[in-house]
Amino acid sequence: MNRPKKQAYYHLMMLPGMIFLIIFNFIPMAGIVMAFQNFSPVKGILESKWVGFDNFRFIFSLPDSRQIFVNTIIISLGKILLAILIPVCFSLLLNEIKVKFFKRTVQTIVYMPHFLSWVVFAAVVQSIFSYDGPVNVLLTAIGMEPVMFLGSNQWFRTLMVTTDSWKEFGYGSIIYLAALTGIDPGLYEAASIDGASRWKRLLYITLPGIMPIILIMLTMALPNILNAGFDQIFNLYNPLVYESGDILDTYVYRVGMLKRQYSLGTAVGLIKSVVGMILILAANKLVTTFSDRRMF
Amino acid sequence: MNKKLRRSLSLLLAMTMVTGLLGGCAGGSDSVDAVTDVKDAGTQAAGAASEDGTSDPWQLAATSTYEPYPETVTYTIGLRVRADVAYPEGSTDTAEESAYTRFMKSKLNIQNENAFEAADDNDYNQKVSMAITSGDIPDIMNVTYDDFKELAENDMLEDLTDAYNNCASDLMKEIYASNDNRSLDMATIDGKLYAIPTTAISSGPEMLWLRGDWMDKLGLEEPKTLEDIENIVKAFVKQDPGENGAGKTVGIPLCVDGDTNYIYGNYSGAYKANNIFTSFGAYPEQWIEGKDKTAVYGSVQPEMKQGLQVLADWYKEGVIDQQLAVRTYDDIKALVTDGKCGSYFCGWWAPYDLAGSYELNPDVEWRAYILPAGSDNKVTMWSGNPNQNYFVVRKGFEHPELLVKAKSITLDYNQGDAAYTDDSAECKEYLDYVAHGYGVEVIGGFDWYDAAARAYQHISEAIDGTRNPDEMNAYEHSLYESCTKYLEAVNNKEKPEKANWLDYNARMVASKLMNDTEVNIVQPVFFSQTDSMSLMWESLRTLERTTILKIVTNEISVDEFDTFAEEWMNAGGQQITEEVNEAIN
Repeated sequence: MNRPKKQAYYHLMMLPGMIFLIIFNFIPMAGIVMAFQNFSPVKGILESKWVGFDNFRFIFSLPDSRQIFVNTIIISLGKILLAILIPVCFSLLLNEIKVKFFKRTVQTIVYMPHFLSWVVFAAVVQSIFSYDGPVNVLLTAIGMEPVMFLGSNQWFRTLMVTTDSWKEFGYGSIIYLAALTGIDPGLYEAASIDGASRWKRLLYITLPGIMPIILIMLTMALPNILNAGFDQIFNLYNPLVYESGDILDTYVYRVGMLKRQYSLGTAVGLIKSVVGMILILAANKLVTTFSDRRMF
Repeated sequence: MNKKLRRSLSLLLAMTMVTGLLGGCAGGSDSVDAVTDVKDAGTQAAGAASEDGTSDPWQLAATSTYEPYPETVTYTIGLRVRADVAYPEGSTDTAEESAYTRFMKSKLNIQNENAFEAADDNDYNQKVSMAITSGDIPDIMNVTYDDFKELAENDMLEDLTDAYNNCASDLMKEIYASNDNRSLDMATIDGKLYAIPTTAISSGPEMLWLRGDWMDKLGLEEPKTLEDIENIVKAFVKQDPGENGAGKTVGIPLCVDGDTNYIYGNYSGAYKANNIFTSFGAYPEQWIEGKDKTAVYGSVQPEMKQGLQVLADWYKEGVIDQQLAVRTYDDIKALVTDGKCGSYFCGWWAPYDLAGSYELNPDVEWRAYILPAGSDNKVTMWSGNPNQNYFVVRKGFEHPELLVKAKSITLDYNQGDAAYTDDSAECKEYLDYVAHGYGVEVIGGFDWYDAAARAYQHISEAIDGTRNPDEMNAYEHSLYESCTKYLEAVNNKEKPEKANWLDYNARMVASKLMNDTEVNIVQPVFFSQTDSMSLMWESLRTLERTTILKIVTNEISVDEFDTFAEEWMNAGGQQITEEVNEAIN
């Protein structure tokens, strides 16, 4: 009977969030028109010249645009995969540890790097992988040639993907650890009575138990496929590795921000959003088809 | 990211500002006989005006340099402030009410009202963009060249030609003339002056800085040619005079870190190799006049190949730092400070970066050489952009000459000798602010193009006894005192203080070299941007920077340069070159 009234409270509670969303996410969407203009701040949105799809055509006509898209997608796919794989393995392993104190300590330590900014963390990566850094000292000690990791097109992408995972896996594992606690302990008890080994329990109880979360995380990560991590790459790249490491965001930064090409920046933003939206819808469809979960 | 940009420019900017700010705050005691320029000129202007029959005080103020407005004129300004701005303890001063504003009020009866303030360059430029977008720009702003052009093209700026002709002081004209009025040319569109530009001072030629104590230890001769440089640096790297351990001494560092640092480019940055290129007649990153009198882009000219061949060979031989691609500006600075690097290219101001190495090791001795010379036995350099930024007046502001008048007054007190003779309370307070670095100067001044050479001439003359030490501006005076302290310490066989060591090496040793060495100066013909450049330039620059770095690090051969030059032309370079030629003709 009093449902509408009860819901009114909920709606009221939602109101600030919605207002925030409208002001900061919906209204600025009008700015998307800049992507179809040659926007000049002096003339403003109303007076600037309309250029149709010229900005988009320009992005795809750039001599390096193919390379940039390839770099972006490879680096970000690698990051998405590792961002699932490593935290899941890590939380499964950590979950097996019974000493509470040790478990907590490890957990805290590994998610610390998440709170460091890339500016700081890049300096750490630089000194570890520098030509005379510890990694190369180790390589020379076992009789191998030192490698200039940050100046090598063969290594740059790998390094970006792994260091990103190193920085973020601890934080990423929090959600899986939480999901693990949600698995009914009764299942484990029943399985061990039936004689299931630890491995079998992991395979048939734990993994299926956290599978929905894994799928949701994957679905949420996919729209970001064109975000390969500006902060990280910007702080670590140099002209020698543009070929393998220059991504959409760093490129747009160099063209758009430094040269104040607002329209170009907006156009790239729009491309990213559209691709992101297509991916999230597709992923959601896949998840609903292959499991009984759905996001929306 | 702009950290680097700021750092590489900071020295020169800082010096310009300090010179500008501190100018004329000391040594006032001895100039009793000097006539007060300010009053004198003011009277002249008044006299001239009354002869013309103009008695309207507003008209008089609008057409003279020093005549104050009859009533307080309030103008709005977008002000660049500093993040660390401080005021005297206990005062309630703000950027709108400080010694600077009171000083201006007493001189010209003007008062600023700040439309916006920003400390950081990015923030400031963003606020300028916002103001432009909203169509509500303050009466006076200090903008970049791009903004200046955009504003002028859209008829948003007041024409300052008359204001400049009527109200600019002789000193102001003299300072602009120190760079052949190039600053004003940049601010002039279709014969009309639309801004009062802030000049950039000349960075002087690039020098090769070598550890003299290492050279003596290894018995090396002074370098003259490219081979000499190669041999010296090789000896440094292989024979390890700094006792760093085998393989720990690096060759000549070149910085490719961030957006502003590259193997070549602006002379206000360190760790470049401009001289290597200019010695073969190549002017990378500059728009210069080619053989057929049209503008060409230096980085794609065939002369580049010889310079690149030298650098590529040097890289192979270890004369150039093997890790140049991945070193940051700070990394290199640390190598130099720690004594792991004893050779690099930098302007006369290198000691500002070298003081750390002297502090760590008092035995270090740095020697500077301007080389290698080209076929005419002279080193060639190109000159930089004549301006830092542009002060503009909103179209429709009733008192456009206010900017010119305020600038003139500021220059009189910064660069001229007005502060020596003015004993008003406002001037005293003004000087006190300058001396302590309080507050923010609202309009501000600018410096001579050859400020560094002038400083050297004044200081060395004072040391030789041919100039009264009080007859120089205050910043120069403080440098003079520092240099004499250095000489005293050396005479008494004591270790000179770090700051004195720095000033002496920069102002007397390196500046002397700069002053005494004749160099060829190539004047680039274009500093601006064309329409296609704004979109295509980055892609061309990426191509250039990647290719050149690969050539230097021996990843590809120098012969690939021809392919690159062709590709550059086809990828838009041709079109941009045509546009540049259109723009300058």
